[in-house]
Amino acid sequence: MTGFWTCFGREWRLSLRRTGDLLTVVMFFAITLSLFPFGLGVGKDLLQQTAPAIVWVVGMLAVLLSLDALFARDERSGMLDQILLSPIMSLEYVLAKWLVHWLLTALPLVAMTPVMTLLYFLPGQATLLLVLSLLLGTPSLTSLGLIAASLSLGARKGGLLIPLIALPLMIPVLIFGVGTVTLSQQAMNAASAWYALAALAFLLLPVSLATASLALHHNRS
Amino acid sequence: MTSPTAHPALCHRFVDLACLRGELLLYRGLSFELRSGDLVWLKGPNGVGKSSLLRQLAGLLPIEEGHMAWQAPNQQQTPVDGKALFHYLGHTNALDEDLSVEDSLAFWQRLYRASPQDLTHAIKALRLEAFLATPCRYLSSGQRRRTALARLMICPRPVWLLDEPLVGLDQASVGWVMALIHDHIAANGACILISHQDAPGLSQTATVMTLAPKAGTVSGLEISEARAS
Repeated sequence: MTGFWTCFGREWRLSLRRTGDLLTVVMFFAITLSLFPFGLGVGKDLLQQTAPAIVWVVGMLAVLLSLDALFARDERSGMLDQILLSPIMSLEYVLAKWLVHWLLTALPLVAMTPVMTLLYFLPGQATLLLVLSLLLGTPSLTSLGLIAASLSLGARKGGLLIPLIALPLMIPVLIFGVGTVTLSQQAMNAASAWYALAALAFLLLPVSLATASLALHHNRS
Repeated sequence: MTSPTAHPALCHRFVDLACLRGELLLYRGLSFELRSGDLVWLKGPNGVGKSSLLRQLAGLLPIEEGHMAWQAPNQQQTPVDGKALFHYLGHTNALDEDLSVEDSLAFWQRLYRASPQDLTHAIKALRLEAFLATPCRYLSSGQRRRTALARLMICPRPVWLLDEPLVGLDQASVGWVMALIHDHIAANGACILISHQDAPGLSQTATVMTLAPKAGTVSGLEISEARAS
């Protein structure tokens, strides 16, 4: 595990030094979310109904925005080669990437959500559910993002490939994530959606770590 | 300055290696041996596959054909773990622009599970004291190269694969780096080095290995190996 903490320390420090990158994601989230009420007009019901879906989709796009540099930067600098040649397992490196990405990219979006939903007249309880669903769903988004970022590595215009790989894979997360809130809003039992969301999170984490570390090894040509 | 520990005597055998880059076959049937104490100066025109060969030896490129093996003379059956044998320095310096030199070195030290003394030793050997606190983005290309070379000193490994290690270095630094390489060889290490420039002591001590494309074919390669006086 020392390899993991070493990588985690580096990732954490680097991410905090690149505040611009982190702010871009948060600002994109905030600005895009504030555009919809302007476009949709002041129909309170419409905003309330669409808020969960809009927040989820914009959240997904914001996460995508951060994936470009996730592995590509380390590859360009030659750091990836050195990580692969070092005694640590690539799994430790990938897990550190995952954790730092979730903590510093996904979590701020979750934290912003209660503020943003004010624009959508979303009641307190629905907002709480939305935040919880994002809390449970964003790990899956990070996992899928990690898969896309690692697979697109080495491809020309890899950055353009990332949304093409990640977005279709994110559809189930979106369905169940929005489902948790909308089913509750309609006074229906949302338990199955919560279970599905949790299952996806636990399933996708190991799958993404394994896929990403395999992809890193196989992309070295 | 010599490395604190001498490396065990090893013999690396590379047999019938082939390297394919996309559609292009760079070389095929490339065989040679690398023994402890060997300093090999890999030469050849641009694009002939020198860098690819180093990457392949380091395990960063797949081996399309052939195999690599290493042997300890006392017939020890040690598993082949390329990771623990090779240091690879490529064109890129593997530096994080946003970290200071000190932080970058500390990261490598922990990555290689080296001791703080090794780190101090590396800083001294490459004379990095003057710009330890500088973020890597503000370093000159020579300073970057030296910081990258410090990695070799942090963790002792028997084989160094160096791709143009002297590029961007001033004359004094070339001298120190060559001295480090010679110390490494003296400590029973081995080194394959690509360089388009001669350096003090290089042509006298190195075995020159020239990678040259055979006229008319892309795949054929001629290995001429001759020990200079």
